[in-house]
Amino acid sequence: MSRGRQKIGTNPAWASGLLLPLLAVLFVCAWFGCLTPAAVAQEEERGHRPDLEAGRSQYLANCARCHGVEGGGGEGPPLARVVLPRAPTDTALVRLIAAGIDGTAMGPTWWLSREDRENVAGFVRSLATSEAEDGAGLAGDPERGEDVFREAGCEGCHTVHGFGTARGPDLSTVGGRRGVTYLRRAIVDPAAALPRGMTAMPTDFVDYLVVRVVDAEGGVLRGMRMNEDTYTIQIKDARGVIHSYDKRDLTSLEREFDRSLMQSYEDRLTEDELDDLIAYLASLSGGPRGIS
Amino acid sequence: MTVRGCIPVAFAALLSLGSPWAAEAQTEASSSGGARGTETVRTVVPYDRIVDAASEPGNWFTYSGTYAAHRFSPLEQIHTGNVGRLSVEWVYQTRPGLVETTPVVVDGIMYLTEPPSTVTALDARTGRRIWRWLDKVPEETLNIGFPRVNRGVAVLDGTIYVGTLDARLVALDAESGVERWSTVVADNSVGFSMTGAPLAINGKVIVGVAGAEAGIRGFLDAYDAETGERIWRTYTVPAPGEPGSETWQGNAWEHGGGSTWLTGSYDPELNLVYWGTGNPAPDWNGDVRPGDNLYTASLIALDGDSGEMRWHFQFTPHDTHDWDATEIPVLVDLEYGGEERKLVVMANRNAFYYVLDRETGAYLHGQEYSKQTWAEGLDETGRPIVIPGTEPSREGTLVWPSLQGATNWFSPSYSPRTEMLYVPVRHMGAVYYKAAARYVPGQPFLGGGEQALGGDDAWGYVKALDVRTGDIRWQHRVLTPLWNGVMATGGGVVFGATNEGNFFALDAETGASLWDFQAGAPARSNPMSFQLDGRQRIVMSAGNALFVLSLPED
Repeated sequence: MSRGRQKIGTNPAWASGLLLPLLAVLFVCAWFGCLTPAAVAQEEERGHRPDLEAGRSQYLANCARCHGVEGGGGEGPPLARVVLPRAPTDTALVRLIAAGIDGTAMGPTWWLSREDRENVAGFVRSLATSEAEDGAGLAGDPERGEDVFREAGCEGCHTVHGFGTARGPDLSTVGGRRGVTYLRRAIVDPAAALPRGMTAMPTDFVDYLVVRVVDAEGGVLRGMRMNEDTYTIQIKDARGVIHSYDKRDLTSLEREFDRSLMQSYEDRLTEDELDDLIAYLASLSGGPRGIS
Repeated sequence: MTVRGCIPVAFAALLSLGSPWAAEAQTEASSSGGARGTETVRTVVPYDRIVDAASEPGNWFTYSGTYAAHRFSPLEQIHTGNVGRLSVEWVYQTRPGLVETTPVVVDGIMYLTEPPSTVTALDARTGRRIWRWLDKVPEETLNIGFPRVNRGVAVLDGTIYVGTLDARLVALDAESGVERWSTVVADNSVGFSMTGAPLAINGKVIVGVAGAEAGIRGFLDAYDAETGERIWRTYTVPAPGEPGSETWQGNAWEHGGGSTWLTGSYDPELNLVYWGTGNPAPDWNGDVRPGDNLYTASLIALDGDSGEMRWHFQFTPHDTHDWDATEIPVLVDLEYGGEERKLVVMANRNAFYYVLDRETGAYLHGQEYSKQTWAEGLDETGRPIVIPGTEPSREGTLVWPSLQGATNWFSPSYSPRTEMLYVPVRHMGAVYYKAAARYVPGQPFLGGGEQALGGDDAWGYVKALDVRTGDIRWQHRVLTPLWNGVMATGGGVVFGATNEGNFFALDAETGASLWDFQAGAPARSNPMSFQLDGRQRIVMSAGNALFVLSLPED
């Protein structure tokens, strides 16, 4: 979904199709308090038979944006799995829903009661047997996919377990963080899958955004936004050099939300190669190289 | 429950100086008196001194500066022409946690709160600590719907008052930090808490409570400043048979919300306390509480002596978006419509600005000051004309503003010189969801969820509103929706700060950017100003650092 360019000082048109950049409930968590460890422990001691319909309702309100309406994943990992790597037991799942996962977009959910969390957990468990289980994208072979990754030159901009060039996102754990649908989109239409929350940018801003500035002397720079505040912006150029500007000295600042520095690989890979590449990326769930 | 401690009266009397509340409070070391340093008199702040706060612009007596809650400093040493030279004089580092405090500064001592409810007295000249009272708030203390913060103290006579996260009101000796008494205001185990600064008036300390997200029944309390005994309690949600109860059905009132978690204002002449009330509970599912749900999302005016409600005005009847009306009620005396009027104005979380007569509560004017998509406007009584289909839904409903509102707890500022109200604004929408809600004591009681539009799709402003009309005279855009208040000064400057750590100064007349400073951490408190030894200071916080700024000595 593209948004067109947005110039500084002008409001973007809030057209109907602009729902993509929904900020996760994470933002709320960022300033509301978190559950205390004692409260979490207290919750674990109580049993409860989950109300799946109530759980679905809360799931839609709180989880579906990242994990998909049917749990197929998206910006977040798929949940329609028999085994959830981070939550092997129901108790662990309720606890994870309460406390979130540090260092990810998944924040704590203070606003859900104990009963709500148990209902959500029950609903998430029920997804594993639904038809939504997104195995289609995993038709490929991860070992062949690793070869595709090399041959297609992905290491020219990405790193995996320390190897490669760190111009774009590190992919060492991408399989644990993203759903297959999202991975496919990120390869086929990178501008429609700009990541958020991975760099020094303030919470939930678009990462690796292409920006174009014109200074008072007419000098033009196009590069990647590294950080920004109200008065300054830091931009990395194609050579990796950081440029720092006072925005008040610029005559123009354009944010290219419909672009990505990554090219589409839709026409560069066969369908089989694409499947293999996705299977490889999905296998990168965080373990040491060779084991994951 | 009230616990009394000892008061070192004799010792205090021994040390007190002749004219303890003289306008020129500090005394310089005399040339013949030996090396005494710069002396500070013992803090004694009788009620009359707070009433006349405008005559002592060097001090900052209450959370919002004065009873009228202008958050305006008449000081003019730092002005539009020299603010660009502002530099850091000293920094104080607080305990870990979020800092939302506004310090009080009286006679050379700064009293501030630290997370979660600790009180500290600093030498305002150097930032060195004089005493600190540790709150001992238990780890298991509930804070359902808000962070573990505190926004400041009240001072009256020789006592400092603080409301704690576990819902106690504590009185501390201003000189030593010794606890004089501690009163349990409400039961934290069912979600009651206190994060706002108390308001001290004549012989009484007024406090509100947080907890609408836990389904409390809100109230405002007054306590005897000397003893800690409760003098009155006025519920913000009426019991069956009481006025306003016709706006509730069944037992919904028992857990109806209507918290009172920020600090109100006070008119000493009318003896009326003005206080904003929070959202009804549960937040997003209004089905379980049909009706207007008085007196939630309202401004209430209470008699200072009895707590009797003189009038009310409800901004958002039957709120379903968590738009508390707890924002600061700003009292202004103005020529309005051809006559001198006593007004109260509020930039509300629901994105509308309101002008009311503060003697009667009569609605005079209101209009939108920030993007909103939930109401066509206000009718002649000030009631919103709600657009159908803007309530939270199972599938999600996109509405501006977000649950955090067009503004929130951080303070606006009113300058009587420009007759503008400066408002920190959150330009942000959200998708609101509705879900089932069942009341369980001590558990969140919200009935839904919210997913806010963030990142590049939301931003902030400081907006300058014509106080009579609400027309926007100028606006200064900032990168993200603000969490920090503003302060206007006699020097014609408006101070504020951003989530990205920018402290900034704007021209109060034009909004022109005059100065900024990167403080290195998110800012989420309110600026204030004081003057000591002939030098004006600006106080702002970022992260866990409280910065005191001034002009360099020539």
